[in-house]
Amino acid sequence: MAATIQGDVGVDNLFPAIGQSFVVILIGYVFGRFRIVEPSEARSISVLVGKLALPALLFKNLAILDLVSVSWRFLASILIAKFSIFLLVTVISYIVIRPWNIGKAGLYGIFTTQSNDFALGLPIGTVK
Amino acid sequence: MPLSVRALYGKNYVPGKFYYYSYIYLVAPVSLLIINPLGFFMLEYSKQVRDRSRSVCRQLPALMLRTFRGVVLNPIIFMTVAGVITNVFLMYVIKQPFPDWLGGFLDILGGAYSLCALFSIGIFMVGKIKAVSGKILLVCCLLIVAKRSVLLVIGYIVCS
Repeated sequence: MAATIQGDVGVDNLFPAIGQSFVVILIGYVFGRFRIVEPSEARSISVLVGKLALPALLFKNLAILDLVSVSWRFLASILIAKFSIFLLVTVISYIVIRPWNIGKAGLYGIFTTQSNDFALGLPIGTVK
Repeated sequence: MPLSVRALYGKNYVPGKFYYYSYIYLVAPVSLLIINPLGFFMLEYSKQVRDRSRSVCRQLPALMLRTFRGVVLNPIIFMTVAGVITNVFLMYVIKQPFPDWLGGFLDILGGAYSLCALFSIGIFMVGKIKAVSGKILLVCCLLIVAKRSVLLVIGYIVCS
């Protein structure tokens, strides 16, 4: 294990963390490509992740979180920004795409706001 | 999972203390709770319109109920809400810390998350690389660039 840094924010540790996460993704790809794990079986891993591991993680971390220090203004501003982007993209897509398709507009809206917070953000923050 | 904030914070990590990084737990589920249901509702609506174009208005309440139920029963949303409620309950109602036995159990479950999430991202990419044609890729790139830049600007404006 690499030596831990003394003191605060270590951006030096960030790039290794990102790199390590991407290596795991690559390993997943290699396993699927060479049929070490059948891609059709991979669905069960995502069920394990989405229905067991992630909810447990969320529950525990939210339950022990110090709610007093949350800057609700900051949170609100992030959410306002996200929501306005969603509206903007949805409305523009609805107007631009012919034939009229509200489903596609909604889908593009989700694309632009759905960020991979949990899938990439949590593991990256998790690397020691 | 807790100890992992080392990548960003070095050794000064205290479990439960609020870091900027902790916002990840709050932002994502809330956006899932509000924005995604709207999008899914639009998708379902357009699907209904395509199937039978006349009686859609009458089915609106049923559609909304279906979307709503899908959202509320989603384990991620459900556990987020449960976590916050538990937090408030533990801190203000009974004034006890989080029980160790439960914490240990949840740590076991949550510990698998990093490996399995990243691994499944990788394995889902198999075979999908050829399926993405030029036009779709262009649309995706445009959306991503727009999202990043506009989100940054709006976020900055709203915050200051």
